[in-house]
This record gives sequence, C-alpha cells and structure tokens, in this order.
Amino acid sequence: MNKLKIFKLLLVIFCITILVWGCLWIYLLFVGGRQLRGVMILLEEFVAQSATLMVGLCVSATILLLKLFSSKRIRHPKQYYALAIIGFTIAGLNSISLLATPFTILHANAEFDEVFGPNWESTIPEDVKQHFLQTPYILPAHILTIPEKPIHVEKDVLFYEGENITLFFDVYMSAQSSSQLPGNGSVIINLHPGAWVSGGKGTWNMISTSKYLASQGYVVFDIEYGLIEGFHYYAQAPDTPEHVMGNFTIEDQIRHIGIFTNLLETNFSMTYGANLDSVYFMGRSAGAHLAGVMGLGCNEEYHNGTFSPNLNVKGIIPLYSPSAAPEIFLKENKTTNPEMYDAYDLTKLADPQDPPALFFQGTSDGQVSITGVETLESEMESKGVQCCLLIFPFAGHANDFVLSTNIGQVWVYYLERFLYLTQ
Amino acid sequence: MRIKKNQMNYYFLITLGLNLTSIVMGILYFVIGPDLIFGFLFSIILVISWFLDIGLILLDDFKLAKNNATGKILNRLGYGFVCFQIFGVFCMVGGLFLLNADWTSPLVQYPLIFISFFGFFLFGSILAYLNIKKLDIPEAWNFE
Repeated sequence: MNKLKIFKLLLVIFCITILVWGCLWIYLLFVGGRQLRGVMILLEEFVAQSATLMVGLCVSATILLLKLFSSKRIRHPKQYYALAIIGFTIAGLNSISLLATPFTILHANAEFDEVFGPNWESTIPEDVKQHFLQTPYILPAHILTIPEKPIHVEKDVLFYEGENITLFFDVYMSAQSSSQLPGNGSVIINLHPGAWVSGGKGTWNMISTSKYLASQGYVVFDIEYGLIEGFHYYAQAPDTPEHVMGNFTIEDQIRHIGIFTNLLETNFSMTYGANLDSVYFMGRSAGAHLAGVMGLGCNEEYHNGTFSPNLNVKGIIPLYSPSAAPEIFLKENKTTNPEMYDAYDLTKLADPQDPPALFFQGTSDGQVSITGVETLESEMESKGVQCCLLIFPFAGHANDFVLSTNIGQVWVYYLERFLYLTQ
Repeated sequence: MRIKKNQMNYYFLITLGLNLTSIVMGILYFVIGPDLIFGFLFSIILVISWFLDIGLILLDDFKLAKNNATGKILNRLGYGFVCFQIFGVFCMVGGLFLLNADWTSPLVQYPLIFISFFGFFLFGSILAYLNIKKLDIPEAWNFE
C-alpha cells in the first residue's frame, strides 16, 4: 500500500469515528447519561451545548467520506448514496436541540405570562431593554459569542477561617456605574454545583453567566462553602479545592453561607456597592438546593439567626435543582428528626411569603430528573410561590456552561428579564 | 447531473459573494453586537453560505476532471476545505468552551473562534474564486 492509500485509509477511519461520535451524541441527547452512567454522566453535560457544532462536524466528515469514495458513485451508487443518507441523518439528528429552541421560547413565554401577566414585556422600559438581549436566540451569537462588556473581577477574597477550612469568594461587578444599568447593584449570591461533596467557585460555576450579569449592573458573589468529605459521587465536580473539605453536613454548609450573608451586610456591601434591598440566591445542582434553602428558609423560624435578617431576598434561581437533601448528608435522618429534615426540603419550606423562583431544567438530565423538578415547581406553586420553569428539550445536567449556545442564550434572555421584573 | 457552464458560473459567483458578505458581517457583528435585524439577516446569510460551500465541494467532486492538472488542484483544495472545516469545528468548540473557563486568556480563546469562523469563509471564498477563474479551462471539467 502506498503512502496516499494509507493516508486515505486513516481519513476514512477518522471520519467513521466522527460519525460514531455523532451517534453517541444523539443517544445522549435523547436518553441522557442516566442509563449508562460512568463517564456518560459527565459527557452528557457537554452534549446539547456542542450538538450544533457536531452537526457541522458530521456534515464535514460525511462530505470527506463521499469525496474519498467518489469512485463508488459510478460503480456502486447504492453504497455511495446510502453513505450520504446515513451521514446526513446523523448530522440532522444532532440538530434536534437547536430545532427545539422555538418550543423552549414558547414554553418560557407561557410561564412568564402566567407569573407576570400577559403584558410583562411591555412593563420593561425601552431604556432598560437596550441593555438586554433583543431576541432569545440568534445564530451569529452562537458562533461568534455574545460580546463581553467591561467588568471588574476580584478573586479569592477571604470571608471565613475556622473548622480547619478557609472559604473565599470571587466578586463580579460592572465597570460602569451600576445605577445606570438594569441590575442597579442588586446582589446575586451564586452557589456552585458538586453534589455537596465536590466542586468550587470559578469555572465550574459558569463564570460566563456571572460576567454577563455583572455587566448588567448586578454584583455577583461566587462563594465557597464547606464540602462533605469521605463520600465519592459518581459525577464528582472537578477542581475541588482541599481547603474547603471537612467533616461537614448540609446544616454546616447553610451555616457557612449564612456567615457570608452576615459579612455581606456588615462589610462587603459597602466595599462592593451591593444593594441589600434586592438579593437573589442562585445555584446549580446541589448549589441550587442550598440556594432554595436560603431563599425559601430565610423567613422560617428554624433558620432564625443563620442568615442576615437585613437582606431583602427578591428571588431564587435554582438550576437543575434537587428538591431535598439526601438524609445521609444531614445530622439526623427523617425518622429521628422530621422537623430538621423538613427545614432542608424545598417543598416544605415554601410558603406564600417566599420570593419568586426561576428554574432551569433540561429534559435529558441524568442526575436531576425533569419530573422531579416539575413536581417541585408544582408543589411550590401550590404553596403560593410564583415559579417559572424553563424547560430545555434534549439538554442534560449543567448545560448552561457555554453562554452563547441556543440553551445559554435563551436562558440569559429570560434570566435578565426575571431579575428585572422581580427587583 | 446536467449543469451548464454558465449555471456553474452563477453558483460560484453567488457562493463567493455570500462568503465575502459573511466575512464582512462577521467583522460588523463585533461592532454592532447581537442586534435583532442585523442578527436575523446575518443568520440567514450564514446558513445559506454554509450550504452553498457544502454544495461547492460536492459540485467540484461531481464535475471536476480529476486526471487533469487543474482539476486535480481544485479537487485537492476541496479536500483541504473539508479538512479545514473539521479542524475549524474543533477550534470553535475549544474557543467557546475556553471562553467560559478561567484557565486561559482571551488571547487564546478569541483567536480560536476567529480562525475557525473567518478561516472557513475565507477558504470558501478562495475556492469559489478559483473555480470561477478555472471554469474557462474545458479540460478541467466534465461538462455534458
């Protein structure tokens, strides 16, 4: 075999590998990683976000294969055209997440109509709207990203030392005066994912969202909390810092966040120009559960004294949120201390005085099921909490990592409006 | 597939025009931002240009006389274009994901996106232009 033939053979193998990869992406788009577990759970987090680009990859691989087998077009036309059909079908099925975007938008609009009334869009002044995304999705922003506006970021600010741990936060602020922006200095306390046992602030807490919200005039605090050591979760979040690990429970994690809220009131609000009359708790996965406990529990007797009473919580933003804490991570279980268990169960914490909630959920999430979140939303609504649930078809867990995708753009479009309407 | 020479000429001209328009609009996007009307128009042009570029490669594959020196060069450029598309998608994915991480600087993130986007349409423009230039060499094409 001469060098050219070897090169062509390698190209064929490469293209087939891409198409097999495309098939795996289709499987994960439709089913998620729940069935296969292992590395599939982690892969699922990237699938819907990269599926549109996978379309391009599969189309290119198919064309390359067609070029390599162009001699077959005359001699074996059935094989040649079958190859084209298979390749383009794989590419087409990968576009399903993108094609489902209009459904996401229609559903989100219906949710907003229900909570804020049918004319909610017209209640936002034009001078505010000019700072927002003008449309829920445009293709150029997907490819060329949403242009960043200047912001200030201060990293690794110490806020707690004790219990053999040190806790830090990063703060994202607008470079412009926040009073001229929709956020008006409102505070967003952003809690990272990682199943209560792993993860950390920064990259895996979606810094692009923090940066975007900062550019809108919000003061975003991306904070650490003590993590429970000694447990291995099958989808551990990467980059877990050593300095936050300890023999903790979820009660301790809430206490750590509570310490931050007290310091926010006494110190940090002045330093960073944070508006304590408008505070939001935002979190992802386990962080979403903690954000829910903070937002819904701040008016509960059980949590009295844990959080600063002078923060005016205007909303909670749980993304792919579990509804309750696993009993194993609490000091006592549900049977021995039901009151304590209920104090960490979002459905039990909900009451009509609680602030509104904006949920994010993908239908192919292998870690937090869509039915669980739908149940949580309907139970919270039945208790009088205003809830908007944004459903992203074919999206898995943590699919808001890239802000400019069809998922990220739609999410940010409604997030910035929710924040403004509830301020 | 019966396509006349002048029809191919039009196809290559439209492809060249839309590829160049995509490049110009790509630059303008960073000035204007994600504006509604501009974004809508740009989306349509992007999709049409992409399909025309795919068609361009397939058309060349069907119509080029690959035993002719010019045909061979254009065919190899077609291979180069497809390989660049695959490379470009990897760059694009890398750029978009790195942009959302704090491990690298924008000096790495944005060039990956720019190379991918502008490289794709530049390659498409060059291929379309060369096709127009070489259309007058009858030995390079299999016209019926």
